[in-house]
Amino acid sequence: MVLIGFAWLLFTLFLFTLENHWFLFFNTTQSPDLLLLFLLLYAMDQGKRKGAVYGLGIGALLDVVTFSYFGWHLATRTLIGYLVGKNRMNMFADRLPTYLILTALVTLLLQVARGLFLCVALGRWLPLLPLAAAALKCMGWNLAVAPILWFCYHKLKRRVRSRMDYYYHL
Amino acid sequence: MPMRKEQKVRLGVLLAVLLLAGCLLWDAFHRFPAVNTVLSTLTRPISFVVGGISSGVKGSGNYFASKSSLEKENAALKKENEELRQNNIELMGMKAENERLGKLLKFSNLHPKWNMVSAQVISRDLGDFKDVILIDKGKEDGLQVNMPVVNASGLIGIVDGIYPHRAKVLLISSPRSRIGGLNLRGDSRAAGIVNGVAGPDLLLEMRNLSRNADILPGDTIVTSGYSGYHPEGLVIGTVEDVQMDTGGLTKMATISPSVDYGHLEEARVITNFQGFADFLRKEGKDPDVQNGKGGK
Repeated sequence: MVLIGFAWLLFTLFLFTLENHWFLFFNTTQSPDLLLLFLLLYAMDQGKRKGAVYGLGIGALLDVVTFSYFGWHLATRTLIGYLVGKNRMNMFADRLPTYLILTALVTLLLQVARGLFLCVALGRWLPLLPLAAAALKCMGWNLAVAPILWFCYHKLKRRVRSRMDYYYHL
Repeated sequence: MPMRKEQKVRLGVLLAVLLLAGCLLWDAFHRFPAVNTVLSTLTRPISFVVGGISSGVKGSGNYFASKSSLEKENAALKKENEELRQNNIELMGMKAENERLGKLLKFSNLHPKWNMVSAQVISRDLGDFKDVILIDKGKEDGLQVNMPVVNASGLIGIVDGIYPHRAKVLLISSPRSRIGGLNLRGDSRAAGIVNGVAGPDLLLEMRNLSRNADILPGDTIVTSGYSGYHPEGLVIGTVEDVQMDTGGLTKMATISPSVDYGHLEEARVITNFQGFADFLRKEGKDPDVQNGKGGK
């Protein structure tokens, strides 16, 4: 159990490093939100409880290493994990198009929420066009990487499940 | 079967004739060039084939003999190549660092009145907002909240939070940041407030410009110093676009920042700037609650 927890932590840190270091080599200020994409996959697969707990972990990690508004990532990621996990029975969770639609929707909602949060925190309206451009760019990045993550997750899942199968060890 | 006497004589004569013919030919080679040429031409194909075979055999021998030494030499060359490549990378890094530090030094020499603390950027905001960086100098190094942070390209931001050996710097590209800006062009001097817009390209916008403000694309915007938090004359960026505000009462300019936020490595904190905000603090008043402070 401890080993599995440690493996999850390592995997999350790997995604986090990949997102924030490797993609920045491409002379860009943006990168795909790999942690969010994985959270969606995990919550779709495992349900609301595990989704919320993993969202809480990711949010805590992001809030610890970022310095802007403590609690923002914690709240949003937990909510996303919970809501996606809760509604997984109402969607075709094992289909790639479902995951892509969900990715686009969640990215858009998160960016809108971020914009509104900034407006409330600053007490003034921010210009709409740059916020919309940032949201679209973020969505584009996420949609470009989502199929790769989907493929890797399901490939890995099949492999792990077959290894954990009783008959594999006979 | 023993050789008969007659046969022995014939063999002796044959050997003597062959020896004589050989001597004659040898002599002819050196004495008569025409004979030499004819014989060389006739025997060239044979010598070519024989020479090819012998050189092939010799080459194969050399190949097998030198294979191990070539492998050793190849390995040594590969190792040397790796070392040279590594050295080259290190030298390129040093050269880039040297250039950056040279620019910073030049910047310091241009402003001798300011005391500056050099700092390394050790982290950046990795969450949804991406508007703060962390530097490796803090309270113990004489830093305080609201001190301006610059590099050779211009203003990076202001110190937003302070720890013993670390400090948070709020970038000017953040929507939370508001700076007094001024058009550097001598016949314009249009003033406004510069703030970030949380967009994807980290562009800034300059608001509250008067309706008739003389501001054009390509103009350089510097800090006005009106806010009391920054010294005047620090480069903010270049005007990209100018348009009327939504209400049509004021102008608004889009500014491309002079600092490359994607590649921030070094920064300098100006520690001895005494602005209006410091004056208010000395008077025992909080500059953040004064009317018309111009924001930070």
